Amino acid sequence: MSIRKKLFLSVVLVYLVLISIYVLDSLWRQREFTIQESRIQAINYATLLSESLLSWVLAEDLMGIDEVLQSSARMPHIKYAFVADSNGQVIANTDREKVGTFLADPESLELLRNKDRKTHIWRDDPSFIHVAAPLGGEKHNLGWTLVGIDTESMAEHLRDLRQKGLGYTLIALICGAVAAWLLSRSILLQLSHIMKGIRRLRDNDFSSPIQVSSHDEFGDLASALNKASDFLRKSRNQLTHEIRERREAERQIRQLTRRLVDGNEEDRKRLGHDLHDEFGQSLTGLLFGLHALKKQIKPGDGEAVELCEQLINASRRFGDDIRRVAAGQYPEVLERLGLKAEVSSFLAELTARGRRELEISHNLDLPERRLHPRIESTCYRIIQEAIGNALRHGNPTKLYVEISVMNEWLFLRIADNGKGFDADSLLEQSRGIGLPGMRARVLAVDGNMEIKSRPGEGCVIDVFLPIIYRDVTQKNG
Amino acid sequence: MKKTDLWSRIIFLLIVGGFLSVFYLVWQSEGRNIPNGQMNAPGFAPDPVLSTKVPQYRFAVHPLHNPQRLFDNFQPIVDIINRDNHAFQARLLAARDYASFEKRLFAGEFDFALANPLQALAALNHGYEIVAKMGDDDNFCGIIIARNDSGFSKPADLNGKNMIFPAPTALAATLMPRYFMHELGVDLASVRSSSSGSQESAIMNVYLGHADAAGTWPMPWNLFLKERPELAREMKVLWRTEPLINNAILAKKGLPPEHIQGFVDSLAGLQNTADGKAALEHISLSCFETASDAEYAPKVEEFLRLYKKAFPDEQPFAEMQTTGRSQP
Repeated sequence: MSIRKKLFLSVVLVYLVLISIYVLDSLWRQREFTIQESRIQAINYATLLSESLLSWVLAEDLMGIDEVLQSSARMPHIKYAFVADSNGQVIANTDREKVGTFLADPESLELLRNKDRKTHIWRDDPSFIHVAAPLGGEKHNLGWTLVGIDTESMAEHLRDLRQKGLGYTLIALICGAVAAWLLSRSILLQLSHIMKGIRRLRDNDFSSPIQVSSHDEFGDLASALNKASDFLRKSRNQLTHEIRERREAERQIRQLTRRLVDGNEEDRKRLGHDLHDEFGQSLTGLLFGLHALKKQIKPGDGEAVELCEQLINASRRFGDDIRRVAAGQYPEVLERLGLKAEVSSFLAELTARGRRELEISHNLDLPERRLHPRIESTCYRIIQEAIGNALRHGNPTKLYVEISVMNEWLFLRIADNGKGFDADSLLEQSRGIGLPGMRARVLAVDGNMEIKSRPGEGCVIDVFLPIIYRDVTQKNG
Repeated sequence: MKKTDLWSRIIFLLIVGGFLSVFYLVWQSEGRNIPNGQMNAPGFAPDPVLSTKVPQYRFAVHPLHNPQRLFDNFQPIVDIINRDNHAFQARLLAARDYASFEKRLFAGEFDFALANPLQALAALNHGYEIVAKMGDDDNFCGIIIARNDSGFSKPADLNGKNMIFPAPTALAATLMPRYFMHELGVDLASVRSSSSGSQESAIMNVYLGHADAAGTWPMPWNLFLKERPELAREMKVLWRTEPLINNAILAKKGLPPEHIQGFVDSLAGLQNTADGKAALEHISLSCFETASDAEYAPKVEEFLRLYKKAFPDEQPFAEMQTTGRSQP
């Protein structure tokens, strides 16, 4: 329910309740007052009539009594008036036919027998007021003056009061409704201005302040909101400026990181080539020399032959190490056959060289088309680094590698069931160069990396890299 | 339906229901006292329902005061008579003026009557007898009052002055003072006389300076002293006439003697009971006394003889029958 409706209905309801209480109470009081007043007037009238009749009664002037009664009968609302002596005989009556008759009904006889001679209402009748006033006062029994007055005037007065009461109730209701409508309109108009202003703020529109000119609470609220809006606008401008600067800085950092990564890759590539080409050539020459030397050793010189064999084996191992290191520095398969082949080769070699209890599984679902060398290189290096870290520190029994396309991203997951670590503190402390290096590589290609690991619960590294395909003319990053 | 809609409907119904309730209550508030047009009227019968076993006697008092005051003064006495006598009931009657009282008196309409001496004397020829009289004959005299600052020291000082009397034929208040002044040598022809209509008015005219002196008699003067002492202090009684004989109680001949005796006994014994004494004090009287025609009439006849001698052109008794309220 809207505030306007609530306010309107509440005010009208309160008006109705209050005016109803007031009108009903007033009517009740007026009715009681009117009834009482009518009775008092009737009693006073009967008393006055009785007193004025006394001298005529004492004089037995029946014509005088009749004249007084007939004149009293001309007064409005007098239905009857008569004088009865102490024996109940009617000595005068506004209805002259009843003169000389005797009171006969039980209430009248009770009145004649009653020794309490006060002016009182002597008959129960909702329609009329019957008053009996003693002739000769309360002490002396000369008879009674009896007057019947209808209550039409009282009823008319009460009808008038009722109509006015209902009219006032209606007027009060209408006034209350109008007042409530005006009040709600006044309040809600300002509230509407404030709401519009708040909506503009919500829509980042700081162009115009809230238009409330009143000096009440709404004015204070609007003023406060305008101040807050102004402050917000300045803060937003400052923040926008700072964000712009930060983005620029991040962009520069990413660019720098990318150059560093690229440079690092170049260095590793060059180192790999050098190791492969230079040391390989030299070791091949050395092996040829050692074989030649072995042939020249005399057949009985077993020690020399054995020594020569050891040197040949050592040279071969050294060559293998050189190739392996060279392959690590520069994944030639990656450049030639792509990420999937390189990762598969890497994992196969890891399986071949690894511990027996280590179970390696993978899901490599890459796009058909070759990715940008930087993306492939980043992906491969992260896998390489992550698995290296896991084997070095986690002592896992299971390794899982997944590469897939998720929406517009290349999704990479490396998971192990090793010892795990506190990823948050490790990242905050930036210990070692493994994780920060991975993060730097990811940032360099505008990707995102999430490391989920807790001590004893292994480690899951999820990486999202943008899918950027390799140009057809591009051979290398 | 939404919750808010429900509430708004409930409140709307409350308002409508409230107004209808108010309308109904207001409508009903009057209904309890609305006349239905049917009157619980008293019933009448041609014959008496309450039986009256004893005869009722009319006891009329000559118009000493207006009927209301007369009722206040004498109804207590009537109540005592009725309390003492179970064989009959007395009912107080008052006359609105002297003529009607006298007319009904002489027509024999009253069973008992309190009449002034002149009326009593006349009633003897109309079927009445004197059975009692008011006591304190010394108080049945005329008095002449004036303001303290009037400077009157002897009756002759009234010559040429304005005098006011209650009524031209008032025995104690007018005739007796006039006779008194005549006897003391006042030139009544030089006195400008007027009538006030009542004893109290005559006294107030003197207090207000509208008249130099007034004639009245002790009963209203004593009442004035009691009721208006602050005014009475401004005035004084100059002279008091010789007393005559106080008002008489007449009984209609032919009434059962025991009823007349019971009536007289109640009057004569008033001073013996507390309420009777209070009733007597109320009319400034010490007692009622038994009386008879033989002892009462000669005293009045003697005064009438003297008055007619002094004022041979006046016929006070005949005039009294045709004038207004009777005055002692």
